[in-house]
Amino acid sequence: MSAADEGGAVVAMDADVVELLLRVVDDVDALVADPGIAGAEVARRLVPDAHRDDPEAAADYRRVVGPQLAQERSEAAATMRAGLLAADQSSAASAAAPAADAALVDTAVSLAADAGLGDAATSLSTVWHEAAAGSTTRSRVVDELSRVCERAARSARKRGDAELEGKLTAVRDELLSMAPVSAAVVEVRLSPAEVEAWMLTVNHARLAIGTACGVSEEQQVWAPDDPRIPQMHVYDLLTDLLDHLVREAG
Amino acid sequence: MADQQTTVAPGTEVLPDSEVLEDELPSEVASPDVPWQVVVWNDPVNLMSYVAMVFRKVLGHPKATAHKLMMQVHEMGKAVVAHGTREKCEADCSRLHAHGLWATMEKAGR
Repeated sequence: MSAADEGGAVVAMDADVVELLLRVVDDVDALVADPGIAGAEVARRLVPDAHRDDPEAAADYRRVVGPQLAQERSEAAATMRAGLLAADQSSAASAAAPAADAALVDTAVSLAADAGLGDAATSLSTVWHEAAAGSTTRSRVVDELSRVCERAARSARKRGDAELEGKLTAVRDELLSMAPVSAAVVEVRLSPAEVEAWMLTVNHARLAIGTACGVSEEQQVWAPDDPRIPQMHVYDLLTDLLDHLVREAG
Repeated sequence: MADQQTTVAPGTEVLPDSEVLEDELPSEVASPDVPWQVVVWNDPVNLMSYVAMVFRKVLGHPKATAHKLMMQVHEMGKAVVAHGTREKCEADCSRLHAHGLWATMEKAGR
């Protein structure tokens, strides 16, 4: 692996992390569109008041700067999404046995049609076969397709068609077993401008999660059943990624 | 600031105080004879290494100055990071907000 260009960065990650980061980018997009969706405290943190003691000046500042921040954050998120999708496609293109995967998807579509869910499966199949267009990731479609199979299997069971249910369950399991194909390490090479976009987006997500979860300066111990733990796992991953980007970019 | 709040983040150069001389500070930071100033406040989320990098890249501070200001934010709870006209400070504030820092502006000398 060669070093990144000056100011740029090389990020290596598992393919499932690519998937997770795409969901994070989706969340950032939603927050940019409506900072209030995660609560007033998160909204205040994402768009702070520049004037603490002057509500009128603060409102003026928000009116002028708010849209600029939203556009910049949206563009940064789009840049990060494009980089992640390109990396995912590169990974998928180098994965083994795509023909076998395609045959399995076609089987899933056919069986789901038999169980009355053909439209949903056909739609996902179309996206899967057009994955090169970059509209989504291959593993995301596989995940959704396996859910269609599961719903179709339940539908078949209700109709008393045990044979169809069994076939659909088997196809679903086989689809899910494709995960190791997508578990390859993905390498993303970022230009200085892309590093900047990734840092803005990753930090935006960290601020939202950290504020919503009540991250504080003190060492925090989370109970095993704390509902914030899944989000904090994402937060920790984003922390590592941001720290890596800062160090790589110098 | 977070995570590396008790120890500086890996990769962040640590300079003893004696190495950060007052006369290395940019004039707009060291000589607040202009009407407005930008204040950055400590928060528990932003990484120390990231904050120092933003001070360098957004405000143009030298590495040592950026590090000193970052440590001041962390240890004192806030630091004045820029001075200037109201328009300049609003522009600085918006760039800091774009990078996720908690920045405010106020008339100098408060």
